[in-house]
Amino acid sequence: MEKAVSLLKSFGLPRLIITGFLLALFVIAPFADINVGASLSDVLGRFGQNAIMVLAMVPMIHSGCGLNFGLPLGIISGLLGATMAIETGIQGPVSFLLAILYSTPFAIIFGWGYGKLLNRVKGSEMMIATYVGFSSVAFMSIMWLILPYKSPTMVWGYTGQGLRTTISTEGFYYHVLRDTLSLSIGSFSISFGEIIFFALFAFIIWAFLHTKTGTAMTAVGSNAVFARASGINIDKQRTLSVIMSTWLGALGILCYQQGYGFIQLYQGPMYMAMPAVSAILIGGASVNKATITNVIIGTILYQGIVSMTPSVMNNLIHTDMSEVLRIIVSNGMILYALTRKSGASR
Amino acid sequence: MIKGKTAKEIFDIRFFVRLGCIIVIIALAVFLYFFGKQRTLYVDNWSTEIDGKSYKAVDWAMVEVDDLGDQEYSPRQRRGIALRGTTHTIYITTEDDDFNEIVLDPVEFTLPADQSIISLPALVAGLPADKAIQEFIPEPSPVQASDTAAEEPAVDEFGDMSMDF
Amino acid sequence: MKREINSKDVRNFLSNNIVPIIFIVLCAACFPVAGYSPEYLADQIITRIMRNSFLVLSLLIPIMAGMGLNFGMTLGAMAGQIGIIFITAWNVVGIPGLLLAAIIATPIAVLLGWFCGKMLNMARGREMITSYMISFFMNGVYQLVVLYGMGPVIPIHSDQVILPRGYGVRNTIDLLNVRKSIDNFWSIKLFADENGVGGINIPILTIILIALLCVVIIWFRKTKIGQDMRAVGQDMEVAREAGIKVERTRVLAIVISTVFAAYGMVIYLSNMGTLNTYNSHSQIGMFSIAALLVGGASVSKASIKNVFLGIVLFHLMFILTPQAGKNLIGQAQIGEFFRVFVSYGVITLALVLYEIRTRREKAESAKTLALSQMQEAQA
Repeated sequence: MEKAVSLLKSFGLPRLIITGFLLALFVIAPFADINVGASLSDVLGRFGQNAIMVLAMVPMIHSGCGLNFGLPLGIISGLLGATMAIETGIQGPVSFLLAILYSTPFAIIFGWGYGKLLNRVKGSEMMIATYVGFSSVAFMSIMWLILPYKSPTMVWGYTGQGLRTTISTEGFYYHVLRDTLSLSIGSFSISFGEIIFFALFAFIIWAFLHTKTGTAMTAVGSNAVFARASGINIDKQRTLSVIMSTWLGALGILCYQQGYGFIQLYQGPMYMAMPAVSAILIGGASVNKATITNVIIGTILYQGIVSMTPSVMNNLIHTDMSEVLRIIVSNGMILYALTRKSGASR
Repeated sequence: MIKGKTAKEIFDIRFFVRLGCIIVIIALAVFLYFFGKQRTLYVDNWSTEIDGKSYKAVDWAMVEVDDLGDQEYSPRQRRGIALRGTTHTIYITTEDDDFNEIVLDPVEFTLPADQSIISLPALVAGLPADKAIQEFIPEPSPVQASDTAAEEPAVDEFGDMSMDF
Repeated sequence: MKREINSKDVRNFLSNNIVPIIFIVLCAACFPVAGYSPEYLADQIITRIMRNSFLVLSLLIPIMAGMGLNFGMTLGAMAGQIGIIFITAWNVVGIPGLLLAAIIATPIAVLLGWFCGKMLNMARGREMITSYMISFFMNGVYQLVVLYGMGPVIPIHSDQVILPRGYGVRNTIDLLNVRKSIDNFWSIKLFADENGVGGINIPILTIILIALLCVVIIWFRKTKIGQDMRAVGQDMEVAREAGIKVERTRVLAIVISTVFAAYGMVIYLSNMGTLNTYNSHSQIGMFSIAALLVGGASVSKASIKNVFLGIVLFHLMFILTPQAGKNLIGQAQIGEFFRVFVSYGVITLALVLYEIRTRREKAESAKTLALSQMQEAQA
């Protein structure tokens, strides 16, 4: 009995409520004329789209840099890669590989600078990360207008200058992962392509965290004094983690675009960090502790609520309050994590 | 806070001063509500029928409500006036058939609704104000479908960045 | 005594005032390109000082209490908006209407401020990011109340305010009834031509209100609570040992700030004349904070001087850049993106500079401490 209570405690009350809520939604769904199979595949599709962006939180949490509110920086590297890949005009799945390839140097350079900056502001990384993300999005908004892109699929038709606010990935890498190895039984369909893609990177991160460098990184995050004493270069480890997070962010947005079908520029990436941050927290992570399991559970719970609430609510009470509820739940979750005593040191 | 304190400690002078302040502020709020509330009065010079008696529109009248300035009325005229506060006074100057000016006694009245209509001919005929004044129910204008669609607010988590400040 | 100006002084001055200096240069560069007349700019700047200074002033007290920039002032803005929604629905007009809006907003602001303060006490050391998230969280609650609660739960039945579907407040509300009622109550016009066209409007009553708040803030610093707040801001543990109720003082600082922000929002909206129900408040926090930082304030130090200098410089940039962008590149949109970038960038820069400076100071004080200990040991 005591064991069960402690297990529940470690699971956390908010998580319990959210899980219960999601289960309740699935139970109610058939009575509200909702196809459970279709909604399940919707949740899984969203999982595949978003999971890597949530995974991008892990390295920075491990090295003690806190929640990566600066994810938009990584997203921007991804956007640069995506737009450059489309600019080449090469179509089909190759463009996805090209986009990853092009975005990598940007992610490394941006991540390196971002990491150097965060090393100079230890203790208030999260606030500054938030504003680094915002500033970079605002700066790139100007850049999207003046960078010399030429591809007619991306540039505004009537002026011939400046990129469109949304660009379709149709013909390039639209559903490139979603349509590989997908299996459908009736209304339920599952895409193994996306899941394997995520699993690959999740495994890489997991394996990395068990290498010598990885354990050093975790040591920096859990006890900086101890890490310094054992001769670990703290700043180097932190910078490395930030670069990894930024690159995963770039990869995450590319993965998101292939499922969603559109590249969103300008103010689009401004607040994309919030859902990812909130998802990993719902999954059980705290400001200074996160595992791959947290990522998987969190993404499923968060995306489950996001996709299930609107349809159930609409069918039941004919009022769509889901967006407002999502705002309250996701931001409330971040607030809960920030105000918990256990993570008070950072 | 309350635990471990006697009633005397809780209800000390400070408590009553604070209570008094709150009551004064609430009273001020109520006063402001009535003092600042704006209602619309339509002064109407159409021939009308009240309680089975009909009144013919006045040929000419000069009307002033409170101190908002004179306004001239011809038959079949109706004007809306925005009024603040609770009691108002209407001053009417009219003329008889021989063009002699008649200054009527000022009439005091209160507004029964947010939108009210007062009948000038009835007042000139000497009907008391509370009879001459009625709630004004405007004819419902058909709601345009495009209007309602445009007005539906989109929930926006973080607001519009290009807003002026 | 004659103070010699050496290169170190100059460098210190530059590094301490880098943000205002950047802004002065920026505005000076944009001014000829934009091509506005000085008279027009002066009128605009005065309008914006009147509109925003109350809001920006509300940020000063939490900074005094060492709680950093209060991103939770958005909560106060929400309270002010709720007050304005009520008086518009009731059709209470003019200055009585605004006063009533302020009275309605006060208890809401106190409640929200209390909640925010309690939360911040639980998140010591990262107050800013927490207050930031509180503003997002409360934005959700605000939308729940305004979009679904008003109408069926909270009885408001005015066609002017409520959507045709019967619940929820409209996207934009015209505040014709209270528009500029404080400003026009008593205002004088300078440099107008004989027809009364152009010129600079000086709203006396608004100036009096703002001056009053400045006096209140200066006076507040000298009271017992103000002294306590400064002590808490200096060092929480020392203050606690001196018998100050640290938690209570901190909550109080946030409550006062939130209430002032609510009043500031009422003044702001009456000057603007329209309420963007779902947008107005969310930007207020960011722009007010950016304006304060542009004035040379930092996370731990801000004065009334910073407020006014900041508003002038920030708004000069705000007015000039779209026009400058249009004249320079032919696209006003670049200027608009540019000013958004500058707003965010300035906050980032100020936060980073502050962190670097505090770390340097800490390192220096540690060095001197070690040095004095060494000397003691030698003696």
